[in-house]
Amino acid sequence: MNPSETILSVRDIGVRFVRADGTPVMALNSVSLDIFPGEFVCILGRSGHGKTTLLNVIAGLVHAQRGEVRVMNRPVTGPGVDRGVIFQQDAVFPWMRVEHNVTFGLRVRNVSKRERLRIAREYLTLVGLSSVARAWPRELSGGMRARVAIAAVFANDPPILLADEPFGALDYVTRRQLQAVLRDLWRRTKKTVLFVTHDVDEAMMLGTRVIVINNGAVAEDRAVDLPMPRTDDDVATPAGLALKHRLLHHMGLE
Amino acid sequence: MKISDASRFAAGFIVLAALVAGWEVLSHIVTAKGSYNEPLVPGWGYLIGNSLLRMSDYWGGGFGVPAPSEGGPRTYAAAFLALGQASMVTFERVFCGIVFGVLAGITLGLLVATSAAARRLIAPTVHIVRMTPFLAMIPLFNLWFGAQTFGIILFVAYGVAVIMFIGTVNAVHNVPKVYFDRAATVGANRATIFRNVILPAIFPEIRSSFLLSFGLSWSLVVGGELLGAQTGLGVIVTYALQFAYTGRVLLIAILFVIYAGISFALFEALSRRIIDWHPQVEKRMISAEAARRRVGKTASQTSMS
Repeated sequence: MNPSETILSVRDIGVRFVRADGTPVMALNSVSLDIFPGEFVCILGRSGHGKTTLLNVIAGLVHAQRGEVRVMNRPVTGPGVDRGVIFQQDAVFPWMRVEHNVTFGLRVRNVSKRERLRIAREYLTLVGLSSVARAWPRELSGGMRARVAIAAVFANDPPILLADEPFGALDYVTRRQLQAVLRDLWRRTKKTVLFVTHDVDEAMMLGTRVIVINNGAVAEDRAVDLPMPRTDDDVATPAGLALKHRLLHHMGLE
Repeated sequence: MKISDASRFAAGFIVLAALVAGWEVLSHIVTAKGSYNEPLVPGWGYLIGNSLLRMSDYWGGGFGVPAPSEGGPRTYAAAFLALGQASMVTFERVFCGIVFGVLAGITLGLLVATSAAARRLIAPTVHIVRMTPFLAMIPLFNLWFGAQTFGIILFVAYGVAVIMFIGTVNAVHNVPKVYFDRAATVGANRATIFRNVILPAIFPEIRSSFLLSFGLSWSLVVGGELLGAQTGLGVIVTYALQFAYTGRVLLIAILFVIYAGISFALFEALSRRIIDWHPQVEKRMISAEAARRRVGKTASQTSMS
């Protein structure tokens, strides 16, 4: 592995929080990763084991006391347009119509109105929302708002996409549909994706590589050698099931 | 929807009619008189035939309607002109007070909520000022700024500003962090975050503070006018109080209820479009309507006691 190929490198990251009662908590303890262009990396782990913190450090939203994050060989000092984020909570602005939500980042960068409209149409069509471009977010279901969030982040065209359990609050069927939407957009745009989830099946359905975070440290880092796009049958093969057992083991099960 | 709207309106109307009728019945039961031989519970006939007509005493003449103080007859034309004139004066004070108060309150609130330096500098002072009872400040405003229009406008503005300040600070603190994070990750600068995130996000809560301060501004203007003003509705109340003219006090109170109701309704209509995006817009409309009804009811109850 030649380090110059990495699009994102995490070196020896340590994050310590202090609880309200004064006791320190090690959220991340010496985490290092090398992410290569075009990968779909699923960061898998149980709740409270540091995966969201890791993603926030990479996004530049949380400051790490120790270590360094580099994107395309430049150190990360804060949030930036090279890393788009899909948040765990609903971050669609309720006071902007759907298409304005999608073009918000473009407006920040002074992209012309015509170009913004064209891009909004393109991505709203790709996520299947072209008919509600002028609607208010309050008129959409949770699944549709998640689609808006996906369209908004892809419209900005960041080379790296960070997703923090974006489908955690959705029902099973909607989640499966949105996984397909995200996977298709990733295959189309060749972006590098870091996708945080606690769901082994979700990680195995989406990832080209799965990194298990346990107790604030990397417990496992493994390529997923299953065909892409993947079906339930691909995951249910002996190789898939062996991988699932292995991942669950590193997450702390059995 | 239409039917339930109509029935809700009808129910409200029936309650109101019952209150009006109940008042008339009460006026026949309680026949006690005040010190200047004015009934303590004046019936509607007395209110319209006597109290309203005598409002013409406050008419200074003009528009071809002679002033009773210069020998003219007491007429309804003069009464309505007198009330209209006094209302205009009071309106002006309320309006200017609201405009200045809202601007000052929101500006200070945004400063304190978004700038750590401003918070350290002015927050303690503002918090002490906001805890001072409004009415206790009237004499000070009188002494410093006079008891006339300027002083009264400042007094109303002060009260409105305090409400708007608290509302703005709370509203900014209640904006979910994820909206700021999202704006930061697409490269938004402070100005963009301010314009595209903070201002729209706080509007629904600010709107509630607007409604609160509207109601309050009518109280503040009367409070301001009670002490030493020469013109305005509060002055009529002051004179009526000196001669125990219950009927006139009651008429002005009803007038205030009507004015406050109209200003609420106007603001609702104006702000409704801006807040079209808000998920609770329908719920809020209903609660605002309930609040309006409560205001009307409380005023009638107060005048009865």
